Amino acid sequence: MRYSALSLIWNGLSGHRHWPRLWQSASPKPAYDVVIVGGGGHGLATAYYLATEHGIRNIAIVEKGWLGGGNVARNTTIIRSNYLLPESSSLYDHAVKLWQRMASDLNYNVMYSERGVVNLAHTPYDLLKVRQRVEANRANGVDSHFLDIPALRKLVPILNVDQGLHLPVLGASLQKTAGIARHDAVIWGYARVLQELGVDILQNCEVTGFETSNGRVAGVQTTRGSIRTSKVGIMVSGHSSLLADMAGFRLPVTTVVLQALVSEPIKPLLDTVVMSGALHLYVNQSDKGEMVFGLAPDRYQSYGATGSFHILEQSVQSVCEYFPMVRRLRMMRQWSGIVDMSTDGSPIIGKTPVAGIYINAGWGSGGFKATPGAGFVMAHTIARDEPHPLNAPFSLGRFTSGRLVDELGAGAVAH
Amino acid sequence: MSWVPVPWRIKERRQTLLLIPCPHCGDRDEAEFRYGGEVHPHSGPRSETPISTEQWGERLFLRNNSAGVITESWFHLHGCQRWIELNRDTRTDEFMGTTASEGS
Repeated sequence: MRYSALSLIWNGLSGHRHWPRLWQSASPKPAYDVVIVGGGGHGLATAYYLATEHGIRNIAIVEKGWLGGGNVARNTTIIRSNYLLPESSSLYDHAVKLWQRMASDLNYNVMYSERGVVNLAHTPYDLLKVRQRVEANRANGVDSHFLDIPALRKLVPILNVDQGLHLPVLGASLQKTAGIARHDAVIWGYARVLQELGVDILQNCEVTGFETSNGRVAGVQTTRGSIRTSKVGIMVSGHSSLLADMAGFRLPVTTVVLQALVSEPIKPLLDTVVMSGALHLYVNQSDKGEMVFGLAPDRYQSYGATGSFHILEQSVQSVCEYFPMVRRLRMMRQWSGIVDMSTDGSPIIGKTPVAGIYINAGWGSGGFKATPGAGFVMAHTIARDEPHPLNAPFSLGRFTSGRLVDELGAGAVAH
Repeated sequence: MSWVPVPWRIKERRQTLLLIPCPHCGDRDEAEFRYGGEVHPHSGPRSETPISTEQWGERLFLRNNSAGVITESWFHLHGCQRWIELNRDTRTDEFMGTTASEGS
């Protein structure tokens, strides 16, 4: 059914009893054209663009837990594209353009809110890098502005810009076209459309192995039986290396734990997103009024998904220092997820050593912002067996050729 | 309001503070250490035989990143200032005993 003002009025008058279910849990068929491993944002977006752009609808999305129970539900929902390198900024900016029309594309309100993202500079070197990034973004066609202290005070009145701090705020960059979206709604919106397009969403279905013949993928083994297919897309964030291991290749990623926490809901206080690379802190306020804090990743590799206490402690200290107004708020929830950090800080999107298996991994702590864009280029790569110009620089082969997209070194931008 | 006494609740929770068993100093807080990453067979002395571009790519960038017991190195920066090697289960963050210490 199509959502509209009319459908809302009709269902409102009939007591909201006739809304159809958004999606049904399917049972696996023996064979599919494409199997997508991972029912997160990237997996659903890939299936969506395979069906709408490339006419491939015989798709299974295989999810080991429940739909949207992974990192798509654990991120801090920030969307931006102010990356330093042209390869990255064009990839992420393409995603931002797709976010802008996602609600009308899906006929589902994903609550995309273009509220701007502020990146703080705390040292003279930081300031230099921020200015450089603003200019680089402008040269690459990404909206970017430099904010001095008076402009910053006006935009974020609750921010402590006292110059006597150990790491005082010296300036900031602002991307006005950046913002946040409701992460759960993204999953629900995609799942609803995929249901209509005939894509099977298989929940509680864990991949246990791959079948190959003559170096090509022939099927996947799952806890709900084996499925024949000639094309597999792997997009499982923190578990990427484990899936790659099943398929017989290694990835340049390390899995680490990343945590976040939210406060009790309060009245509107912060109408933009504030990030600090130096402090590893991301702050925004959700539509419910909770202050959402994204913290630093743990320093060591782990699949444990709990998060180090000292990281939590340091980050909360930063919150108290830079946002003294929220000092007395109670924190309601703390959670973590596992993310795959690539060795050059950029994602890996493309073919693998096994023909027919495609990988979308290494997004580290910043995968949510790329959801529609990653799906778009992955769908192109899977359907045509060659990368889209946007993801061509992000191949796995770059780690042999040496053509890295080194956001970690050059960009100095936290994800 | 919950009437469950606090110690019960703490017992239920998973440990979030990583205590690292330094063979020289005993169990110390994670914040005293710097992480050195997984110890690979090739991280020892460099071999004399030349290696190919592919092998260089593997050595520099590829990671095992396995879920299970791994051997990794830590530098006890705010302690004995020595590199140590420990076994840890990456699924539970439990340390499984020391293998060898490399000295200072």
